[in-house]
Amino acid sequence: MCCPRGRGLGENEEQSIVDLDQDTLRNVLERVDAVTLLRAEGVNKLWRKVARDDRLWEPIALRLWAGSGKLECIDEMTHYIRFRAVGFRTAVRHWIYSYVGKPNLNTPSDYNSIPDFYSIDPQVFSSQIGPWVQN
Amino acid sequence: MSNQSESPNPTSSSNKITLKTSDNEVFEVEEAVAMKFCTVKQYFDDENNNNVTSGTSTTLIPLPNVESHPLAILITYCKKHLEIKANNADNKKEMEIDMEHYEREFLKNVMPQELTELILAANYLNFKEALDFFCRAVASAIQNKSVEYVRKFFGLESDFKPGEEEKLREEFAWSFEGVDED
Repeated sequence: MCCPRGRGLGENEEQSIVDLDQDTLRNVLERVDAVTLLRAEGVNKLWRKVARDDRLWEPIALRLWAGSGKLECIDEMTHYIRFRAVGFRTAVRHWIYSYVGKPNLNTPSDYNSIPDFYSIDPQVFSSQIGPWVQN
Repeated sequence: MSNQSESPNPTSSSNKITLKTSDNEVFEVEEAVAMKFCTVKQYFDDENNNNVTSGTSTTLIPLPNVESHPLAILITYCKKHLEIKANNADNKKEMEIDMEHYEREFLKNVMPQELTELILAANYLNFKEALDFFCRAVASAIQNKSVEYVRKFFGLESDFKPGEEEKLREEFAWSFEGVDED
């Protein structure tokens, strides 16, 4: 389960390089924002695996959900259960795409399974996790 | 104002504990320092339970998964951590400010590769404050950075199958815009 050994950062080339394992990597990625987390999937296979862990997406999704003001008609538990069924990462991606526009590719089927009430006011979205998105 | 120069170590009269690293270096540390490493504490407690004659002077604890280089840094960090805590025992706010200041200075002398080693060592030793600190440091180093930067930072290379990376990049193209300059 290890990743390839790579080159160092210039002057320290002779130093041996150790890689983070899944647990410690998750520990690091718990602390980055949603877009950095999405981008982290592109580093290598291990990073992709860890960055897709829904445990990392849960707090991000719940933060969004708390800020969405869409709670009036549904009790929290029902909402949470639906959220889980869809997947937190999927739900956040859906939000992001509703904000920056869907990428132009074959739409994965999981988008369609997200109920409408998860859609979020772009205004709210941008104040929640939007600061990194260039306008 | 809280910079007393005498040793603030609360257990200065106490036992020393000897730690032996995977590269066979031996570190003698104050018990208070060693007890911040939960893995060491566990070992130490187990030993004490099994050994009636203990409580005297030194105990040798092997650390087969930790090298001397990160351990030395962790010990320094831990000592400072305890010192700052002792100096500001009655003022949490003050303690946090001192700690933040120390941590900022600390990071100026640490290379990216060392951070990885430190995280793994802190994780193995179960030294929570240090693990939290180093993970935060790495997270803020890669926050809003390009994939290339992250790879360079950790000395990683892509191991994706042909096409996989392109697919990811296509989907997340928008996320690659506006990353910080390396």
